[in-house]
Amino acid sequence: MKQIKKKTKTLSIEKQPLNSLSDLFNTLSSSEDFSRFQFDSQGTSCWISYLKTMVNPDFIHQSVLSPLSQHSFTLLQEMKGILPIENIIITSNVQEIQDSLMTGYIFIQLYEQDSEGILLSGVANETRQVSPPEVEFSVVGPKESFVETLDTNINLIRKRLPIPQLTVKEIKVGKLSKTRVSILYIDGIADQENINTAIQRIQDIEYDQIPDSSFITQMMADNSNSPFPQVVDTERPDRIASILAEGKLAILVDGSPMVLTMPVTLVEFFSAFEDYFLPWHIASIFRLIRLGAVTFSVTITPLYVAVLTYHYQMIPTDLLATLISSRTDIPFPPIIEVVILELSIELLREAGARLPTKIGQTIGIVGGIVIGTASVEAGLTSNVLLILVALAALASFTTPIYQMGNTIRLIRFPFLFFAQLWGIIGVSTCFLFFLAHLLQLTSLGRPYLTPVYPLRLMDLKDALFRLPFNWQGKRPVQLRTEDPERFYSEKVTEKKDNEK
Amino acid sequence: MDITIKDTEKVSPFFAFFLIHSVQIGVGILGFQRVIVKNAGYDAWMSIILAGIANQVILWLMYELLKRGNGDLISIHRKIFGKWIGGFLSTLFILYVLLAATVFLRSFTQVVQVWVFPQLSTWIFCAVLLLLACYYIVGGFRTVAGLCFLSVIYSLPLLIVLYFPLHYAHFYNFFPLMTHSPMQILQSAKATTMEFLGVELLLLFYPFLKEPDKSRRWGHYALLYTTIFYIAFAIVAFVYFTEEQLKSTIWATLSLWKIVEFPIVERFEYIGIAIWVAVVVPNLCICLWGANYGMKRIFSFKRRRVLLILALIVFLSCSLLTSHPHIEKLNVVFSEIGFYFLYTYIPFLFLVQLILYKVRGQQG
Amino acid sequence: MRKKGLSLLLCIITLAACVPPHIIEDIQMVEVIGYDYVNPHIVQVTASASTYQGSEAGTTVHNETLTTQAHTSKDNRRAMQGLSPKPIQSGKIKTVLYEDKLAKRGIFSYMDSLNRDATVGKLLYLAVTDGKTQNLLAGNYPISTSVSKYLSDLFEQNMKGNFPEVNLHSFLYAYHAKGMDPFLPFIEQKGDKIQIKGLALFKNDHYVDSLSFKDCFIFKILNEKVKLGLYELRVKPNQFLDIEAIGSKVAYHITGGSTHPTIWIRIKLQGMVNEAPKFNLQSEDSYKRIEKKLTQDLEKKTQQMIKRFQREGIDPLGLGDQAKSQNRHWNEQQWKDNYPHAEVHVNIDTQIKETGIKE
Repeated sequence: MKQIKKKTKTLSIEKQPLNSLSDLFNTLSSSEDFSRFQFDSQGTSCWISYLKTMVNPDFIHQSVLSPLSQHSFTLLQEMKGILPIENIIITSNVQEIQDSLMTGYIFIQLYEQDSEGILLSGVANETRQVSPPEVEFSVVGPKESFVETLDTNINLIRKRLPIPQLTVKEIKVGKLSKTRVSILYIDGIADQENINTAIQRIQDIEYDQIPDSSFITQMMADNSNSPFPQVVDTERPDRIASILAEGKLAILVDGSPMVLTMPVTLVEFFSAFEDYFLPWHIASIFRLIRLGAVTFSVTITPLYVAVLTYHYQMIPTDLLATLISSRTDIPFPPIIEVVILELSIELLREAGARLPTKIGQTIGIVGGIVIGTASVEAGLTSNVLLILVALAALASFTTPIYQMGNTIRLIRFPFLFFAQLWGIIGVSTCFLFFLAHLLQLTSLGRPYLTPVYPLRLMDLKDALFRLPFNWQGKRPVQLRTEDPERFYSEKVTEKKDNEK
Repeated sequence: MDITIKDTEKVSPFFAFFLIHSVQIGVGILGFQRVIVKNAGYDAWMSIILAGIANQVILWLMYELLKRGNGDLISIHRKIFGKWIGGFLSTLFILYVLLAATVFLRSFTQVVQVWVFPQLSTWIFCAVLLLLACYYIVGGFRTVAGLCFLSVIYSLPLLIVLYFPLHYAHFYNFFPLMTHSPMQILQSAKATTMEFLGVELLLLFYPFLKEPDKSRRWGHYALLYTTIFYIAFAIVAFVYFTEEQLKSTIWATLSLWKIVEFPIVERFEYIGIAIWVAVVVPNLCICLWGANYGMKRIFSFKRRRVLLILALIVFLSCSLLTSHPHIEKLNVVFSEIGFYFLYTYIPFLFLVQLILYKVRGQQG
Repeated sequence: MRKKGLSLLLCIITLAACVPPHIIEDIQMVEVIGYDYVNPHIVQVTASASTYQGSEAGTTVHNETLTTQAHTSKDNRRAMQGLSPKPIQSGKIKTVLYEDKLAKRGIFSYMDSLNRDATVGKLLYLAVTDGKTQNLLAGNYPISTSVSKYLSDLFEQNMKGNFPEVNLHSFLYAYHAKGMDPFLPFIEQKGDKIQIKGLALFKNDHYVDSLSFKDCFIFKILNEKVKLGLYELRVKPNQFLDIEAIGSKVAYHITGGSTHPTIWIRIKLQGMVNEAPKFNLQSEDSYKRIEKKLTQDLEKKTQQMIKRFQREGIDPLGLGDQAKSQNRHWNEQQWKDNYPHAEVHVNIDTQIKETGIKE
């Protein structure tokens, strides 16, 4: 298990801990949105401090000022009884007060120089509504996806797994952003070792700001230099619920709609959650098509280069005429042709991703069709290769997980290099290099290529194909769960309608 | 077990099948038919069966040896012959393993140079493949075992391709049976040993198997599968070629692949050689791994540095062999050494160990 | 440090590991080779290659021939290189032709270069031509796109029909086997078409005799399994029937070893009547009559053919090879001496299954 090295230096911010409340209020008063005022009511007064931009003004008026104005109080304890808000804390811990104020709590003191006061939660965060997923859209099945607020996300998961064993552990990561990171697992199913490793890794993260869960991915990955992602990120709550039930961990990061799951294996990157909504034979065929598409996408252009440059004997005679005539006018050797086309497609993709939506669609069509046709007519590329490159690019998008799609586009280039070097033998050698890398890759310490290697026949039922539900009585062996049985198979022997 | 190996580096006993089988199938199968036909003619399939049976016996002896020795060959040597002589004998074994790696690598490079790229520079091809092997070895024994497993599965289509030459088969080539004397058949069996060499690496990776005793039957299955493999390739070559033709065809299996045709691809031998890279690299990996591990055990060297030096030795030897007669000679030398090691040294060691344990047992 | 080492390695590999490419549009792919006789020491080689040009209407294919003369086959290649703008590659050779004059003097020496070259395939078609191969290859054949395609298609589809299957491999097999002689197709140029004239029979690697195309069917049913073939049966002096063979099997049994060989050949033939212009096939025994006539006819013809082979001392059916597998103490020399006097019995079992859709 890789450990992130702790930095020996401390940030300058940490060097100046705010020791007293007055220091805190001094620092905060340089921001325009910090509000501190004295509120008088019924003869008594109190000092209320909060950040205007973090607190809902209606909340202040109705739930704080209004009850306070109707009662009198001398002690903080009495205030606690007056205010109709849950979970009021009385504290004098400066750090706690600072943390809470910054996240939208209201601090009420009786006197201006008091060191003790009440903290109440008044958080009003702007948040997006729960909407259909964009990346992992499915035709059938639930269409809820995660939003940026941690609490809403946990709500979406909890309503699908309403059992007390679903545990949420929270850690704050990031010196400046103090992002809340929650680890979810089902106690009694998930392996304790996995949980401990995950918690330890997250706690060891030293960084200043965590805007998204992908930062956590990269920092706690087993091998951050590998092109293969070792964490599956998803935006579907139903997928997370199913993954938790299998025995894995889910990591939620406040501010990010993508939830991470660990440990994962290579075959999971090719399974869409929609597979479980379709009958098992159809789903299995789709999975195999996906795997075939990915293999095709990675190897077809290198094979084109290899065969046309070195192994002309392999081309059937009838196809030879088409290929030669498509290449006669082209001044470049096959490798340059392929690199030009691949880079053009990458260019189109990047441009299409960066352009605003309205212009993006037009440019996509224009770029694709016009540039492609024009380059064939100008004699810069051959039409056969254009078809192959376009199909390969299309096939690389069949993976449901976006990170893996990027990987596939990237690993095509070493294959091209080796194909140009040693033809078809180079392609084979490159494949072996990647295999060596994959065999040594781990995800949370578990081998990446399970269930193919180490061979777990039980787990193969849900890897390359998806066998019917009644055959999947046991949880995946690789996860070494504490409770391997999903359901009692004796009860599932026959489907019989009630006979009268 | 006398040697402590972390559980994270061990593999389940089932993998003994793939480990042993993948080391045995290497470059030999591409051209072994000519060698065995030299003495026994088309009765040579009996030689293969004989060699297979003999190997099963030797494998059984090896398992007994290792079980009683409670470790690997180096600890057995140490116990029987003492530290210095035992160390010397173990070093000889390591050199033999390095020789095996050189032979495999150079023969395969030669195949690529003759069949695909005549101008391929030997040293760079060997260097890249050695680099690849080192990358696997650095990942530990598990990675190497994984490679062997996947390569056996990856090379299964090659068996299916054997169907195509059968269209031109002359099955009556086998008859009449037994036209050669038993002596000739035995001579061919001796020539077949080179194809079965590789099983002695069990002596080095035995401690890496979880519950090594359970892996016995997988080891025997592996030998059986290898024997069947060789018989299949031999039979197809026999019915396709006539004896005179076969005697002048250096790489009979590759010539068989020349005629396989699919609608999309015409000449299958290029695909076959590309798949064959994945069959030869495991051989290289296990041999280098064995040498590396052995060196660490005998001399307590640091693993990575020794690995580089060993790889360099293999690389230099490969580059120095430049012509076909030299390579042939090396193959013959390797085959002879392997034969005597397997069939004389192992039984000798077994007997010595048996006697010594009986004697020590009586004393202690 | 490690990264520097890796990048250095990458540079070395990129620069040093390159192999010469053969990009498909930059090479001259030779598809047919023809050997002609000049004098006992010099052979003339003609190579036919296709050049492809892309145009609006599609690909147009032109045939180009290169002809040179030299002592060996590969020296001819060197000379040809001097004529060609692109490097000549022999990986796509599909057919090799030999002039009959050259074939009479032996062709095995010319096959050595084909056999040794790793880039050349094994399923080549070989043939003997009546006349110079140079003329045949330089001809214009509008019926097919190129000479090479014409020849390979011609052989391929005929070998599925009336013509026995033969290619480089079977030629070499027959040549190397003891007690077997090879045979090859015999073709000639007829105007703007190429015609299979028959079967060229070899003794070792010398061309000695030929069979007509019509007799090839008889040869084929003696040699191998026939799946499809057409045969004209003569019932009466002016009455002919056409039989389509839809399946045949042949088995050999040779007794007496190499000293007193007796050859028993058994053929099972199934056919259907294709054309019967003046016949009444309605009656039940009309089938039996046809079968009987066919059996007699075929038995006579096959006996004659084998006797002819025996007279000439050639064995294209591989009877010697069969004898070797059926008799323990087979001796090649003895067989050669005794084969011309061997007794041959041919037993044919015919069965007419159908007569088409008309009676």
